[in-house]
Amino acid sequence: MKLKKTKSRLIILAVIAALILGLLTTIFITESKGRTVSKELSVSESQAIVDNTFSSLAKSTAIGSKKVLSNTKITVKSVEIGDEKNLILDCEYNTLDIGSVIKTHKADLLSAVCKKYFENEKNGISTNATRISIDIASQLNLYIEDAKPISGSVTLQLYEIEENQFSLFLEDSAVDKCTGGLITIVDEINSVNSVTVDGENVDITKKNTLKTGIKQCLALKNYDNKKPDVGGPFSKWWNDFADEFKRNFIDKAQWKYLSDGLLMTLAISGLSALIGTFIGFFVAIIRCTYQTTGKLKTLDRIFSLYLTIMRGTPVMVQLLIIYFVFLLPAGVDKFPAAVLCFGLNSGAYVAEIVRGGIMSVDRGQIEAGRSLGFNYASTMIHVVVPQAFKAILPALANEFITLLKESSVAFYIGVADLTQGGLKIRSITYSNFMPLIAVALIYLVIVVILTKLVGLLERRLRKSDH
Amino acid sequence: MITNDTLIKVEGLIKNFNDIKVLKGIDTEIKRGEVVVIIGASGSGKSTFLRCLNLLEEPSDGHIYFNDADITAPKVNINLHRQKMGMVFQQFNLFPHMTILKNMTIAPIKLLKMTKEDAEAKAMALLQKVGLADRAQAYPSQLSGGQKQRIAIVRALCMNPEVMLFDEPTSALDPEMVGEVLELMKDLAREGMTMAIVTHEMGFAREVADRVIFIDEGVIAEEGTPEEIFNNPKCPRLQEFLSKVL
Repeated sequence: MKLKKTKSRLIILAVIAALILGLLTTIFITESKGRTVSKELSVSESQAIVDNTFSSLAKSTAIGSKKVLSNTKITVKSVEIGDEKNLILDCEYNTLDIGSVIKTHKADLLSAVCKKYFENEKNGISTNATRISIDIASQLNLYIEDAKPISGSVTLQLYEIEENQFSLFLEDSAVDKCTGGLITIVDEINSVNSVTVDGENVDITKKNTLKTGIKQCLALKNYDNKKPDVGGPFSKWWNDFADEFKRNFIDKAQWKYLSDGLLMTLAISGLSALIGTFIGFFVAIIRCTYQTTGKLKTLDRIFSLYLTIMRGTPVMVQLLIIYFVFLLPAGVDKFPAAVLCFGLNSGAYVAEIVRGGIMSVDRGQIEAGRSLGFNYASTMIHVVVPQAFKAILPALANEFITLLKESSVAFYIGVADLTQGGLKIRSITYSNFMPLIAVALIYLVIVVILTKLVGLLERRLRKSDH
Repeated sequence: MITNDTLIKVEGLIKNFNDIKVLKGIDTEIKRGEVVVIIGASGSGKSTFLRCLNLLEEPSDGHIYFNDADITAPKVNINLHRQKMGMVFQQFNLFPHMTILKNMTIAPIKLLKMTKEDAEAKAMALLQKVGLADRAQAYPSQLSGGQKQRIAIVRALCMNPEVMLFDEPTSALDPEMVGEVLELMKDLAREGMTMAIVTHEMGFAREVADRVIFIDEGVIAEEGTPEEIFNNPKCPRLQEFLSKVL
């Protein structure tokens, strides 16, 4: 029997090894195909590629910079073969000096947008980054005609990625030059922490939507600042992936949104689990006492109403009511509000789980405890609850896992939890895949770890039922 | 061993479950050191009677005196009295989440404020006596039915009770395990423990009982020594009952 098991395991291992070997071989063959520029391009052919790249770049850029790019003209003067399977283009550029326009009118641009933002805020309209950037773009259009043309020369590189398919590589400095110094402008705007609105100084460091909107509408998206992939599909995919990863998490230490958010999520769900357990056990014991002895009727009625309300309404609605109706006017912060809400909510579910557990303990156990001379409370503490606890542990663990995941609605009242962190990154980078999948994976890992821990605890408690 | 002072006195005990009258007025006494066996058909009220003695069932009317104290009076702390009345159940009711030793020591430690060492020494001595000392660290689920019931008995003994109440202690056991439990109860009886036993083991009753009580339809239909009850029953219901069980 044992031998047979070992044998079948060996076969499975062999199959997996063969699959991995095959995969590696395929990757090696496809990746090792070298790519060289298949023919020398003429100046006019290079010019067509450059024009083509820039027109598509113009379509895909952020709203504020579009106008600038469509006015950018790059003329290829000469072409030479480079050393990295590429062509080096000697170019002259001609564009509007958007940088000076923004520098001159920065104060007006920002305060106009700020006004809009505060007006929205006052009216209770949530202003997201996209709307802010539209506002700033329309402001920018007012001034764009004043821009002076600038020109100069720049070196670009052209790669052949597939037969007759070229990709233009612009170094950051080149992009900076031929798009009118936009990159330095973005940095300048990034450093702005306060603006003057109607003669009053307003701090915008904490107004995240506003800040993001301003940054994002000026940032150039999708310009080709990386060398094109010259390998096979795997390295291409990998490079894209690594680049996306870097753009979402590494740049400007954006991963901190996730780690800070995770800490917040753990703090909220940990504290509210604690509160929930306390409330749950208390309510359950009171209700069981009523059910078995008929005492404490009033408390039982009150708790029963509490359970009905907590289990009969969505937790999100409860959160909004607890925070906006009761706690915000009382000056309580978001974090304690979220902890209180989730604690109260989970308390209701824990109470029913615990009550089920207590009721499932054999009546004889209570009689044995009482006949030894224990009073009702001691019998509960020493005899019934420990047994009930073991019976309900899986259900309880489930409840806490649900709580951890449900705490993600805390972002409705603006708590910077894990979900919020992911959405934050998404609003900065405009990527969906990376931040959302990252958030999901982090939740998943935490839940799997919790499940394992509960399994361990359960095995320890099961010691008594050999 | 029988002395004349009364340990438990029952006066006019009535117990109703909603509209059903289970006990219809019971008067009796249990003397210190006496072994009383209660017999009767199922549904006659014998278990209810036993459970009324330590107020696991609240009497509807009547009085129960334990050591001359009326434990049915309002405001009596029944928990203190129960400490002196050991009870053994049909279903053993050992605490499954505790080791045997913990089962036996928790009540003396928590209620009699014994030290852990004293309580464990006492428990180990009792385990030694019933030959289960090697199972002290085992959990109830690892024991046989007979072993569980013996543990349940010595668990009650750890509290130094003045009386032991047995509610059909062998009814849930496999036949081959009944003997070991009855043997232990006989030992207890020989040592002079006051006992009230509800059982269907008539041979056992004949052997150890000082007095046998036959309960029928909520009243004591007949009581007397084992010879009187088993060899010379007077009441027709008792004759009918004995003809079925013997």
